Amino acid sequence: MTPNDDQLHQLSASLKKAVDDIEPPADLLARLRAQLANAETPAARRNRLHIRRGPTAGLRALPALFGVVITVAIAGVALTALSHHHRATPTTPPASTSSAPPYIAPTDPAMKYVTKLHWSAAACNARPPRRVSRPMISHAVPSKLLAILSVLRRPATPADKLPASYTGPMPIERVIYTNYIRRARIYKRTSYYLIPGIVTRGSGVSARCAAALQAELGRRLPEIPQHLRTHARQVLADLIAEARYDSQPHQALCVAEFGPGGGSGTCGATAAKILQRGVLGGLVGDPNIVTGVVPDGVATVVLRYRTKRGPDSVTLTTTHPVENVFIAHVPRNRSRFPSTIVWLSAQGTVIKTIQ
Amino acid sequence: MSPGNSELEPDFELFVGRCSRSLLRTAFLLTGDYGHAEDLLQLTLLRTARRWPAARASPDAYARRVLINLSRDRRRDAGRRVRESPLTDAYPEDASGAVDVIVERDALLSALRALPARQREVVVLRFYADLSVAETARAMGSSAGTVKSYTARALARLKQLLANPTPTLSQPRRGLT
Repeated sequence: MTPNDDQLHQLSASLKKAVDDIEPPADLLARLRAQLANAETPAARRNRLHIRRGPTAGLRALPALFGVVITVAIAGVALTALSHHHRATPTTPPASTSSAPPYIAPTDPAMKYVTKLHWSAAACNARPPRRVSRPMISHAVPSKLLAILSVLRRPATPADKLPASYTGPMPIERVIYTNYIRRARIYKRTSYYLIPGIVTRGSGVSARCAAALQAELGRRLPEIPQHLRTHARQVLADLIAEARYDSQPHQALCVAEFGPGGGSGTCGATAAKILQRGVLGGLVGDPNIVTGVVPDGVATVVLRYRTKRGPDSVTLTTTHPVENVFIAHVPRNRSRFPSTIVWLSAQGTVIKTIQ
Repeated sequence: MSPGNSELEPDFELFVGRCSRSLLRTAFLLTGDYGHAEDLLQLTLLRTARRWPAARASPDAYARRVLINLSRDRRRDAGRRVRESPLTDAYPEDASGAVDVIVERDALLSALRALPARQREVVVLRFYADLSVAETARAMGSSAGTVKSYTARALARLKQLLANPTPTLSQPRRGLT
């Protein structure tokens, strides 16, 4: 039966009513300008794709090719000579590109033994970090963070300014790069700001405290399963290294939320840590939302939640970061934080799997 | 307006001001997801900006065509990706809204999402964007006869779905439907 005109009008009105509160972002034009400014020129694209036009294009590449061949040959000869001279010298592993200590997952089986140690014992009672009453404003460039977060590279807009009524905690104690504060997302009237700064966390672990913790772990070894003992020592060493790393001033990202329900913030993700595992958090007062910051190149984030049906049964939530920030719903009856996070590139290849 | 140059033409800025709302809403009805819709809008406007000399004569039609093509690309890509759990509130919900309005809207959006992609396009373009059969055919790259046929089938299916609404929001699905 064909619908009559009234029904069609009603459908049209219902469709319009269903979406009448959807508004485009206020900074749409600014975003378009930023994207156009960063867009690749046709010439650059041709170069990247190695497209050469004209019959002599191959010939024009010959001198460069010849140069490459000679360079490779000289390098080969030099390496052969060096290997003869230093045959007895053991090879050293390449230096790590990241100075951050390795990440230890909270689910690591050794963690429950290491966290039981008396981190607050007398030997570890260091002075609390000196708090600076007001952070200093810097007009410098947070180059390490800028290199991995495109949201910080886009031009600032008036919307990026922290609201004057923001009274929530300002997580940065030392320096704020004021020109690089960006409002990355708005969700349920809560604005999600990224604030680069220089941050120190904790007071580190003194040599005396580290020795006390290692001795305590040694005494508790009989409680730890045989196969985890060596690993537990390594986890303790890594945690101490992490605490010492965090206590030094680093360029780090702070995430601050500000909405009708108030404000909150967390701090301390250095560029190395963001590349290692991103930043994971949630919205204030909403346990069903998980948020996070990912570095450039991550086009899709897959959050894997375990279900109670068995070890292999999982629920997946897929989300796409916008301006380096993703916001996703936690599946019903799951804790906010997923068991595994997978970063995918725009081509669908796996960049990283974070346990 | 070449790549690498962030200056936008004044008439393009006017076009964005005039049409971005309607394009975003169309994208939302096509994708059923606010995040995807915002992405689609941005990409659509970016492509239109890059081809502004060609699009200037009829920017609305040009942008609509780009939007439809991008939504199809996205749907194809989504089909190859891992399963998504759709968000229960796919776009910012106004808490002060009356419950029956929200329920009605949810039923309509669920029914729309349950339609096959081309039928959904026809419904959105004809009954949300108020396009004629010929304009819809141009936006979709189909013939007028195909549009009429899709319209008839879509309306019959919508009627059936709205008469017997089934909760589809909590069901996991492969990519976008």
